[in-house]
Amino acid sequence: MDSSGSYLTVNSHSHPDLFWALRGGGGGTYGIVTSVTYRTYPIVPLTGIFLTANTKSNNTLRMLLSEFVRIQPSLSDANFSGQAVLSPNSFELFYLAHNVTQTEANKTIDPFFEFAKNLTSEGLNVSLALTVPFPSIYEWFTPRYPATALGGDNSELASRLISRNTIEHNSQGIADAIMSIDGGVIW
Amino acid sequence: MTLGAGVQFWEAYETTQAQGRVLVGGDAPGGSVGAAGGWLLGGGHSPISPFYGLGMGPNIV
Repeated sequence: MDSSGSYLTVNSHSHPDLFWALRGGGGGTYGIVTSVTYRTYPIVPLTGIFLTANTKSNNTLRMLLSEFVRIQPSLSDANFSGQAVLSPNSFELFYLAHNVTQTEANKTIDPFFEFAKNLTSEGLNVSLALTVPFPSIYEWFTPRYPATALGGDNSELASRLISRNTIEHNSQGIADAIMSIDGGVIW
Repeated sequence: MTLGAGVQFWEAYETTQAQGRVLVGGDAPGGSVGAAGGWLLGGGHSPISPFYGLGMGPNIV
């Protein structure tokens, strides 16, 4: 509904300029969206990747994070995506490998799991490091978030696009920048 | 699939799953903010966006 109270159908054929403006740049500036039509896709299986580690050592956390940043291009190439959560004393990984078998996903992530476990001598406690096959993203998503859970959290939102070249050549610098943000980061 | 304002993502996910389909949506408690609202208007970042694009990319028709 636009500011004059008119209901409009907005897509690439009808009001394409408004459709363009609504796609990420203006929030609710241009009107009220009353319904949306989504494309859907066939279900594909995937593998979930989970890691939980904590430490009192800032330097150990930096080593773990720096390695994780460094391997992002190879993870992306292997169909990995998801969220990671850095807190002042911990690191948590909630990734998935889209349409990838557990065996293949293990080949990709095992070196990072080993890297984390080898930091035990540096004071890192790895309480979880595993992969789990799921028949669909629904099964991956649902156990983490019961339907009754409240949405939203107390965060500031920002967007950064980091080039592959920067990641490959300055993973330590990116890790340092992430760690310089007070209170932790989710990405 | 057409969603009205106020539909939460977990509701949309249950419906699409029952149809044997996947929806590119948010990843947060309760399924993020409204499935037909704020998540999309901010671009729509999903864990499966690397494969299907942002919510507001090719996923809205």
